[in-house]
Amino acid sequence: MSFVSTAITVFSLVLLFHAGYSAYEFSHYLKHLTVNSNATLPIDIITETIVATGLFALGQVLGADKLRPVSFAKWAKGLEREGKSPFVFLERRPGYMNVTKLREEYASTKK
Amino acid sequence: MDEKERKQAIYPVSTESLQQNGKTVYYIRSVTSTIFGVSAGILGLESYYGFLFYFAGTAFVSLLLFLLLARGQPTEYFTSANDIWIGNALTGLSSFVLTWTLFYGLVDA
Repeated sequence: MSFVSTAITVFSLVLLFHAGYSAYEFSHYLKHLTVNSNATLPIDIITETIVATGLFALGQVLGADKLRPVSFAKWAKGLEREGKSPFVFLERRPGYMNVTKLREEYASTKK
Repeated sequence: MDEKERKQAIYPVSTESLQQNGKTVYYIRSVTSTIFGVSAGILGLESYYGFLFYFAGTAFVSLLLFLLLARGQPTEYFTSANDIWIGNALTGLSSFVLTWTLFYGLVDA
């Protein structure tokens, strides 16, 4: 969750809470202070709600984990870069060591 | 071996990636469904309009997933392109109805 996505999410929740409270107040006034309760929600509250939900969805999608590649080849390539290849047991094969060659290498570096 | 099994053998699929991607999409859809319920309650939507709002919102989230997460190539991250458009689309329906009824009752003073 990066900073931008968290900021967008929090802002959208604040906006949503404000819209909700405004709608509650509007309904309260309608019921207790007017005679004919035939009015619909004012357009700015509606806009605020819709914008808030859109922003929330945007913030969540932006802050989600990156999708992993599904083909085995690409996924294993990414892992190998980090050194955690699924076939790491094939990199060292103790049964196939060439001891004399290794001894020569060691002797040459030691000198 | 039939066509599909041959394709599986030549181009294997990493199940771990598939599961992780499925989890990500599932989380996004369930969280946004609750917020869609909150807005539907605030707007005072009823019956068919409410469910229409849910499907419109889910379509919007699918579009966002396609553009931002899959970056226009859904087959690279899912087995079929349908998984990003309509996969897990109905899992959030119950959360939607829950928050919808809750906030409808709250906002109605």
